[in-house]
Parts: sequence; C-alpha cells; structure tokens
Amino acid sequence: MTRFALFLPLLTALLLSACGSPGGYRGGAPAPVEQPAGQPPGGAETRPYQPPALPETTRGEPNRAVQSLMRRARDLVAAGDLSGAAANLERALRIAPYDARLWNQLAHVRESQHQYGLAADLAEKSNTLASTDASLKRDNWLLIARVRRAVGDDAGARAAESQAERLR
Amino acid sequence: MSSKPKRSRSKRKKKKTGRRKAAATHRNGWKWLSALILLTLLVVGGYLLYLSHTVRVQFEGKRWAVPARIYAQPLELYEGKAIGLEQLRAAMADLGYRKVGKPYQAAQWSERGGRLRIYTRAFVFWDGEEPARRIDLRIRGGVIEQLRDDRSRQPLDLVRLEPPLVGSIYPAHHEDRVLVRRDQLPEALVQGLLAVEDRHFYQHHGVDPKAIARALWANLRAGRTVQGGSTLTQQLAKNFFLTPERSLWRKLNEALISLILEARYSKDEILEAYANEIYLGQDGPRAIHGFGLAAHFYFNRPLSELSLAENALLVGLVKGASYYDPRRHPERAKQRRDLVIGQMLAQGAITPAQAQKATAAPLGVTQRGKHNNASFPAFIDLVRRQLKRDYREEDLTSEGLRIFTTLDPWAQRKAERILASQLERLEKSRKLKPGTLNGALVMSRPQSGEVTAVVGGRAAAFAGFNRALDAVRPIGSLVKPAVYLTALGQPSRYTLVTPLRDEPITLTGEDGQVWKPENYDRTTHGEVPLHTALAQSYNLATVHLGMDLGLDAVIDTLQRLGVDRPMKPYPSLLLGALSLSPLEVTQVFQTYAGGGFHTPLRAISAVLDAENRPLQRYALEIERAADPAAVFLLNRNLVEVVREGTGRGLARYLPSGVEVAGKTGTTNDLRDSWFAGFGEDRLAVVWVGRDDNQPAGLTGSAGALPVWGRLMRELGVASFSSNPPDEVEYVLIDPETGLRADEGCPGAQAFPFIRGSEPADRAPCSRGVTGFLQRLFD
Repeated sequence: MTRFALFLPLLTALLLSACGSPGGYRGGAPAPVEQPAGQPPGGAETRPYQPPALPETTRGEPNRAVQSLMRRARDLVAAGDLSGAAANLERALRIAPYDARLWNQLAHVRESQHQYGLAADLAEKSNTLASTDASLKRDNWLLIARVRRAVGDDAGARAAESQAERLR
Repeated sequence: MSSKPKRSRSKRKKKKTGRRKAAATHRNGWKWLSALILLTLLVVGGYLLYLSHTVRVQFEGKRWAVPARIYAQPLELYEGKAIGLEQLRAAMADLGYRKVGKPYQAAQWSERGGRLRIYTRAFVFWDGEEPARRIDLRIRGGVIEQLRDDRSRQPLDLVRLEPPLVGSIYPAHHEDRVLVRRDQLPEALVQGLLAVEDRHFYQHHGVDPKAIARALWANLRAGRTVQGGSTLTQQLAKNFFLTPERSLWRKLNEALISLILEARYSKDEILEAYANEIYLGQDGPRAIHGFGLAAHFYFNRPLSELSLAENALLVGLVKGASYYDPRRHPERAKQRRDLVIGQMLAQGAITPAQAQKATAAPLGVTQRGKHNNASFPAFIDLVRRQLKRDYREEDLTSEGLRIFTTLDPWAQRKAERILASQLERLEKSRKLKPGTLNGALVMSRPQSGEVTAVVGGRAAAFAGFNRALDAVRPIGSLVKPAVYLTALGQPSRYTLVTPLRDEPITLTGEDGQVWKPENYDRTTHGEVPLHTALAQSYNLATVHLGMDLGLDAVIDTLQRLGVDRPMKPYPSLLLGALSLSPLEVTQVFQTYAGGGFHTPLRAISAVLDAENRPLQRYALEIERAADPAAVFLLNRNLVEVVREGTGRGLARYLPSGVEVAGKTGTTNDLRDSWFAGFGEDRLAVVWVGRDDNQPAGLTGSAGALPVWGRLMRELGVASFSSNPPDEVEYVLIDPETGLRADEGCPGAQAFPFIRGSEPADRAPCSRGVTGFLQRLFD
C-alpha cells in the first residue's frame, strides 16, 4: 500500500505530462525582423540573427518511437521498475533530446528514487526547454519545491512554489 | 698369512651367514620390494589423485577466462529517423547480416530501391530483450519514411538492431574466446569433428588403441608422421592441462588425464570443453580459442548461423590453424575443408548432394578478424579507463562481462578517415614532410554526454599514443567562451552589446614578467561590442574583460564547466595558457551545448554479467553548472562565431541554412590548431598539431576547422538552436549605438538579453520610425 501510495503521484504526473499540452513547447523564436523597404539587401553584417529552424523530427508532437518509449516507461513505473523506466526515458531522450516532457518524466522517476539533486536539475533542464508550455513548467517547479523541501531547503521550496503559482 | 684361517672362518661364517643373509635378503628384498611397490603405488596414486584433482578444479571450477565483450551503440530504427542507405548497409555488414534476394532467416536482408527488408537477430539488452523481427523499411531522402512488420504489415514504433561487437578485453596471455554450450554446437560441426578427428569418440574410454595402431601403421609406411591417433579427449587433455613439449612422459600424462576425464565426465561435457578450448587462429597477439569465437573471427557470424561448408572449414583448422589459415592460404584451407566434407560423406554424416553443394561453396571468410581491439583502439582505451574505475582487471578479462558502449561506428569510421585525409591534404598544400602533422578528435551527443567517437591520431587503427585522451595541449582561444560566460553571468554589468576596449594592455605576471598581448592581426579595434570581440576572437578585448572580471571568477567558471586541473591565476590564462586534452575540452563544450547543465562524458551505458544480469548502469546525470540564460546568450554568440567570425570558413562545408556554434583556437607560434563546435545533435572537438610540439603553422581555422567541417558535412548535422529560457527576451538593437532600435533602424538586429539587462535608451534612429513611415506614404 505504501509502495502504491508512493507511485500514485508519480503515475499521475506521468499520465498528465504524457497527455501533454498541445505543441508549441519548442517554439518561442522571436519574430523575424523585417528589412525596411528601400534598404539594400543585407549582407552578413546586417542580417538579423534568427534562431535557425528546427528539423521536423524533433519539433512538435513526439514521434511514435518516443511515444512508445514513454508508454513503456509509464508501465514500468506502475510495475515498480524505476530503473527500467529511467532506461526507457533515456533511450527516448537519445531520439528526442530536446523534448522537455521527457526530461520532466525522468525528473519524476529520479524523485521517486530519492535522487533529489538530480531530480531538481532534470526538472530545471526541462524548464529551459519547455518554452511556452506553462503546465509542464508548473509541474517542474512543483517537483523542484518538493525535492527542496525533502532536503530541508524550505525557503528554496517556497520560492519554487511561488514560481509554480505564477504559472497557474 | 694370518688372513687365511680368518678367511676360511669367514668363508664358513659367510656360508652360514650367507644362507641366513640370503634368507634375510630375501625377506628384506620382499620388504623392500613391497615397500617400493607401496611407495610407487602411493606416488602413482598420489599423482593420480593430484591429476584428478587438477582435472576436477579445471573442469568444474572456472574453466576459461572469458574476456569482456564490448558492444557499440545499437542502431535504433523508427519513422522519421535520418539515416542514409549507405549507413544501413554498413550496419548490416558490421552485424554480419547477409544480403539475399528474399530474407527467410535471421541475419539476412534484402534491398530494392529504397526498400529494405531485414530479418533481425534477437538480442538481450541491459533493459530487456529485443526479439527477432522481420521488418520492412522504406527510406526516402535520407529519412526512414515507413517502418513495418514484414509479416503482419503493421507499423512498428521502434526497432533496435543488435549492437555490433567492437572489442574484447582479453587477459595478458591473450586468449580470447566466446563460450558455447554443447547444445549450441551445430550438428554439422560435431559430425565433422568426429569424422576427421575421432571416429570412435562415443565408444572409447579416452584412448583409442585401434586409432593409435592405425596411425602407427600409417606413419611407419609413410616414414613420417602423417596421422595422429589422439582422441578428442587426449587433444583436450593436451591443450587443457599440459605444456606443448613432445615427450613420452607427456604422452603418458595425456593418456592418464584422458582416462580420468572420461571416468568423471560425460561425452557431451568433454565435447563442450573441447569446442571451447581448441586453438583455431591468431589475430596479432590475440589467440582465437574455441569454435564460438572462431565463427565470429572468420565469418563475423555466430556459430549457429554457419553453413555446412563453413563448419567444415572450422573443423579443418583443428589440424593447424596457421597452416590452413583461410585468409593467408585459401587454397590449402579449401583443400582441407573439402577433405573434411569428404570424410563426413564417407562416414555417412551427410548426403552426396550436401557434400557436393558444400564443396562448391566459396570459403566465405570475411576480410579481417572482426571485433578485435584493433578496430577502434582509442575509443576502447577510453572504455577501459572508465571501466578500471569500477572493476578489477581480472574481472574484466575473465568474467565474460558484456559492456555496452556509446560508440557510433559509422561516425567513428568517418572521423578516422577524414582526420587522416585532411592531415595529408594539409601537409601537401603546405609542403610539409608527410607525417609531420598529427591530430585527435572526440565526438559526443550534446545533451546526453555520450561519447560517440574517439580518434587518437592519424593512424587510427593502431593503438599507441592516444592523443584524444593524453595529448594535453594549450587550448588557446577555446578558453575565451568561459571568459565571456563569466561576464554574461553578470547581467547587471555585461550583455552581448556591452562595449569592450580592444586596446593595448601591459600586465605584470606573478613572476614579475611583463606581458604585452597582441591581437592575431596585430592591430587594435578600439571599442567593440562584446559579441563581436568573441566572434572575432580579439585578444586585447578579452584580456581587458577578463581582468575586469577577475581571474578567480574565470577560473571558477572553468571549474564549474568541468575543468579538473589546477589553474594558476595568471593573466595569460585568459588567452588559453591552459593545457587540456581534446576529451577535457569536449567536457567543457558539452556544458555549453547542454545549456549550462554539466553532463559527465560517458563511453559506457551498462555492464552485464555473463548471465545477462545487470551489474551497473551508467545513467544520464546532469548538474546545473552555469546560469542557463547566460549560456543561451553565449551560445548565440558562438553561432555568430561561425556565421561571421573566425569560424566562418565552415560555410564551405555546411549546407546553407545550417547554423552551428563553435570556436577556433590557435596557440603561440601556431603550435596547436583547435576547433570545438556543436549542432543540435553532434558535438566535436578537433586538435591538429605536431607531436614534437614544433609550430605546425596552422591557425584553428586553417587546421582543425576543415576537419570539423568535412566531418559534419559527411555525417550531417542539425542546426543548433534552443528555446530561450524564461529569463531571456529578444530586443532589437541598433548596431551603430548599441541602443534599443526598432524597425526604423537600418541593420537593426535582435539580441537576446537576460530580462532587465537590455539597454534602456533608444537609439536616435528608432524615433525616426514615424518619419520613415511617412516617407513611405509620401
């Protein structure tokens, strides 16, 4: 029962994050700057910097391979095999290393394994990739708050909670 | 003559005593004899007991040192994966899959147009078993377009091919083997062995007198040794327990051990031991033992997949692995193989049709021994060093561990070839004596820290000085990003557009020596924006910046990025008076590419024991090492280095539109030429220089950059991009003034700023926006 109680929040989190928010988590590039009319076509010196386009395979919804690994990880978490779940998530990250949801799920698994420092860093990493996905970011901040509290950093936990609150 | 009576007396006496003595001697003799017999029995018995004990210990204890096997990273196939046909073909060859018209059994594949049908082998990974599958995949434009199960026609999410074996860690006596069980020995192999080596194996008790007599007769007739009468058991005894000297004593021992073996163990146990012990070839210092390894060594396939002809070839090698070496003496090997087939036919083990087909088959051996350490010595070296932290040497060489690494053989081979050819090209174009230059290269995955390739020198196939790990050289301007990151981590003081002074500076080091750094072009550039100073690698601006930040702050940054060496706070550190190996540089750039998260470089993902139980997982670990927002700014600047700075030469190699981040490095008198850079999916660090540390005459952009460029062109690299963290916003900046701009400013560029650090003032041009619009409508 205690085991189950431990997995319940994790499972919920994984399910939640797997359902995910619709796309856009890799967007966020600034709008291209238009050259004013009458301006000579710019050479390298005047070309405005623009983050380059992303390849199709890592953009938007994860591909089937990543989805199936996420499902497998979820099943393994439910079965109590956290190491196995982590291995599958790492495998998925090899395919989609910029997928913020995968980093988030891995953070949850590490939290369940009481690897608090690693869990917090993984959640923070997820946040740097999450772009406009507010619910994912909120989940990351709540996770960070929990692990900070678990190691006795109450002030840090409150700071993380207020970050999460702002994303509500 | 007083001696006479004495003599007669003594004669009489002697006669008397003689009789007594004779009786006594007789008794004594018997005593002695029985004592001698007893002693002999004791000695022989003791010796037999000793032999029996040795046999038991050897046989039932750990019989063989089984070297650890090293696997490369498996190839993952899924729809949307970028992979070329050429790479897939290479992967099939690495795994020993045979190309056929229509695959009908494991390890076969076919290709038509962009459509591949592959019948994969099953494989046990550290995270579960991958079943054998029939897959049907279509590739178009270098991407897997469709992946299906060839039988059910259902789409497949993900298929993982088995990982190619790339090495083994064999012990000092150089014996290498792949263990096989009796039930894994192909029937054809067993039949061949019995037909040629020991026809009465299942009847005799270890020694076959009939075979000895036959061999003796044959040898007498021939006047030399043409036939051996040794049973398989005797051969095993010889190989297993004894030295190779030829003496009667050894022969006797051999026979004794054979009898003991037969008394104690079943025929199948003996056959299994024989199949794993027998010497079947030589690969440099590595001795090939057993049929399991021989199958891989000669055919690059597991024993279970060999044909009758291939099994017969292996049986033929028993008589003399060197003399019948199919690579060096194919004619002899074929004759021997056909003789084995003939014997099998004569014994009724195969049909005439089978024999005919087998003798008609080519030898089928691969070009060279596979999965030896000669393949990728520099990478295997890294693996061994990482393993030595966690395992004892004897465990690695004897416990049959399975080591799963992060090696990408496709990238590794390309990297080896490109480094070597580029060095040759450089020597030619610069009229240098061939062999003057050398180099090293490390490649990794930016987000996971997995090392995918290591090249230790231009002669990559030869183990030797591993420059990638051990050439510790000054890194020159590769240190600069750490200086600029230190600055960008203080957003209240520095942004990408903060003006820096690129002016002469004179410093006095701790040793009292005066240091007057100069720019590479020996000019000064006055006031330059921070981003330009890094993009153009200006020395003076960097020294000014570093001195303002404080050397300790820069050292602190370097340590957090992963530099482990002691660093002295001398100003020259700011221009790269810091010596690191290419691997260490990779670690530093890993943290940039990882968005400020330090990920220890890994060459191993997991270690399993011989029974496939996981011993250790080397999991992905990350640790925040720098402010992700500051690293985001830095990376944008490193993209600028390649777009318009010292790395712009890469444009020649990369397709337009692909933007990567990078930095060149050059040291005093052009001794070391570096390039470190990353795209979204690949990170690589290249060093070019001379082993004798003489000037190589190459800047970073002339020596190392072309290697990097050609490598990425051939492998393909995705643009580096990352989403701006929350704390970052883009603001239009007027290049003239470094102030806020808007659409009205010509050449305005969007720069990322950590929120609150963007300039407050607007450039004069931005207020002209209304005037500009009016002019448009006038």
